[in-house]
Amino acid sequence: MTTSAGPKPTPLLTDSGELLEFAISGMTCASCAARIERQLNRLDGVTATVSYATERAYVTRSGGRRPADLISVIETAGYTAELAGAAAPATGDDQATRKLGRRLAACAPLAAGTIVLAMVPAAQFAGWQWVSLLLAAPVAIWGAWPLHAAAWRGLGHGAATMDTLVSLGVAASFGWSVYALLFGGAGNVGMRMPFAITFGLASGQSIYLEAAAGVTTAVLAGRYLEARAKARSGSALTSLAALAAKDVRVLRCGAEQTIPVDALRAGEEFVVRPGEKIATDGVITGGASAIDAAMVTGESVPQEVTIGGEVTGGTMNLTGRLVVRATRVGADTTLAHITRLVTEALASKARSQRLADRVAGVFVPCVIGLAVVTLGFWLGSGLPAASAWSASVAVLVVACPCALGLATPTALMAALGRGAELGVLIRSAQSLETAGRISAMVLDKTGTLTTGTMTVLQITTSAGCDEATALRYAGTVEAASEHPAGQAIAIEAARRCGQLPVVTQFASVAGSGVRGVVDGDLVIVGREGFVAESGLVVPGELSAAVARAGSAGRTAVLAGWDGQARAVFTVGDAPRAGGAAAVSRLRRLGLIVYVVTGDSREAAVSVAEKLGIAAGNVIDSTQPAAKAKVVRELQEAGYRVAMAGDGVNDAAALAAADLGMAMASGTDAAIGASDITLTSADPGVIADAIQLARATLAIIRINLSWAFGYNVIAIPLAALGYLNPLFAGIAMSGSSLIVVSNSLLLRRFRPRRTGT
Amino acid sequence: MVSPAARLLAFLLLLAVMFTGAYAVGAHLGPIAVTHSQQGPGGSQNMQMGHMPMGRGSAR
Repeated sequence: MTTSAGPKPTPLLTDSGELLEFAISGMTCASCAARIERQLNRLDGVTATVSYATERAYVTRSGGRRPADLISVIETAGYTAELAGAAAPATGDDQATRKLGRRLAACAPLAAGTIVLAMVPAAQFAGWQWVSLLLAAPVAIWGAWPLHAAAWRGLGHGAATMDTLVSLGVAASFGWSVYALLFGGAGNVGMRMPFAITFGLASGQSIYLEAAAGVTTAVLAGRYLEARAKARSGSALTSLAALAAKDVRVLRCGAEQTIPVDALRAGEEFVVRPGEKIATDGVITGGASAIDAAMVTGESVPQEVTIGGEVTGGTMNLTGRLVVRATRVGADTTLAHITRLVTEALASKARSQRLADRVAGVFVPCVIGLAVVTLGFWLGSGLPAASAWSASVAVLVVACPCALGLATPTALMAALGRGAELGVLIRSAQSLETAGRISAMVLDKTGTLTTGTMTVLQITTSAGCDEATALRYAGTVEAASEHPAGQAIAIEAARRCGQLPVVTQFASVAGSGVRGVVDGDLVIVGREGFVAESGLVVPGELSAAVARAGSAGRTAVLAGWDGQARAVFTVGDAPRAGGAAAVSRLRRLGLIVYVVTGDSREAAVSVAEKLGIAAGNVIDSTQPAAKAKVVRELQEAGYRVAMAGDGVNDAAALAAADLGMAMASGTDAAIGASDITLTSADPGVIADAIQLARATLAIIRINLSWAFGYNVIAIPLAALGYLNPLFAGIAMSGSSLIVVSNSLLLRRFRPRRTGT
Repeated sequence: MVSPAARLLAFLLLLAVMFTGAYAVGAHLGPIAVTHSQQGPGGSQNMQMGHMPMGRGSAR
């Protein structure tokens, strides 16, 4: 078991017990995941789901099962596990990648030496074959040890993977070579291996050390590239756990008392100060404030809340002190519900397998069968056992899937590098494979199509007042306020007016507005009601502007002085530049585009219209569960669905979608639940990602066709004794080189921004 | 559901059957196959197939 230096992970509570997340290593295929799942589920009070794709086990435990017990069950099954902490996954992956890199660095020069000795007759000095054995032995035994171990584990549960074939090929060629050197006469000093395209049938003197070393090194190189390509992404569930408040200030006997949030019971009252997270779902019994619920509900505009209003656990209290009565705790909260949705969606993804493993399931038994048939046939024909055995080994060696092993990781590596330049971070080969086949795109509005921050969108002034004056007065007063809408006005004022004067006699009325004296004038800024109550007259044109802002789902802030309201600031979430172009490109790529949002119908349609999305494709006021439901409904209708989002409320939909794309500026939970992370703020990268994925998929297809084509031709020739393994080795290296060169074409990929 | 051990056993049995079948076919077609292999591409350098060491490594 490996140990984690990261912070201790916080378990999540679900309705059936405590949910733990384990990072598993040593899995080589989906059947490994199924095996671990079976072993864990045999334990009383334990429900486990193991995902091969994410290398995670999600275990719900009730009763006294300790994480150590669960880890020992996983280890008994032949794998290693550790509790997934916030820093643990990246550390573990880094270690594994570094270890693989060291193994590759040690094997590569040894393999190169073996290959040169075998393929260049001029380099074959007296006793070269023994030097070759010394060079190849560490590679075939130590270098290929992870492959042998994985093949052995696979054998234990009757699974044939690429590891089985590689391990078998390496073991057969190395074992045979040792036998030939010791007993077959190949060890005679002065033995040479002449270069020939074909041979009749191999003999007792054939040695395949360069194949054993070369295949091992090529496969290690492929694995290393793949490991490096795996984006270091946090875990969705750990991020959700981090979102939850740890402690709560409970009101008991009239006094505030800090207790762990687990100890809070439904019906108890607790206090939330400005800047603190709300511990659990509840109803406000005292105070008023603005709540930033974007993390959980996707609402871009902070909600003004007061007595009787409902609040959600995990959201941030911005301005005022609140007293909240807990209505739901533990497994019943909205956050726990989102966690369950993410877990379910991640578990359902575990069923898909990597293409190479799907192929291996059929390919490996076929090759083993063919090797046995070759052995039987030539023995029956009356050839000496050494020759028949040698031909059979040749089949295994020729079938070793070097090019097959490199086809996907090299293309992925090239695509990843190019993607990073374009602002697209791809998590796995599987994500790319899926991205290339997407037919519907669901876009989250807030933070994805819009900036997700409040900005001044419009200023309407009354007669006799200009925008600069209104901004200068309102901005000066709002600069002292903490309200997000006020901050947006202050920022805009500072941008357009430069240095602002000093406000005196500042006062804030929670949930209503602010007032203060600027240049001798008492300036009132706030809601229409607050301004009117303060004795200012609101002209008709300003009332109309307030109504228009409301119907567009935006916030209207009035400012006035000298007995009259002078201006209306329309504040809202601004659409990102390039959004309309991105939507149009997605359409040209043949995708059907939907917008989902937790915001009101008016706000959603207003943004969608600007982006050229029909109102019929806008799904508004959706809760996290409803977003995932929209994705699933589209999937049921036959679409392969990609979801782009950024909030915790999108995490379930991102995980449920065939392909999840998270904005890098989004929450860790969203990034953890996604397959692709978009580091650019330009929504155009969504279309870039799809185009890159399609191009990569095309390259992978060509690579795989070439690798399989090579096997289809080479294996029968080897079985019939028409192919010198030396030539087969060169062909194998050549095919790998072609695959790598083909993959490198992706480095020059340019997204077509104007047409498809 | 078939257990992994049973699946492995079934596969090994299948391999044994394939080996036996291939052996029988080899015994039947053997002389033709060996002659053909000896005269096949590159056959000239491997004419003594089955009688003395040859192929990739040849002792000098």
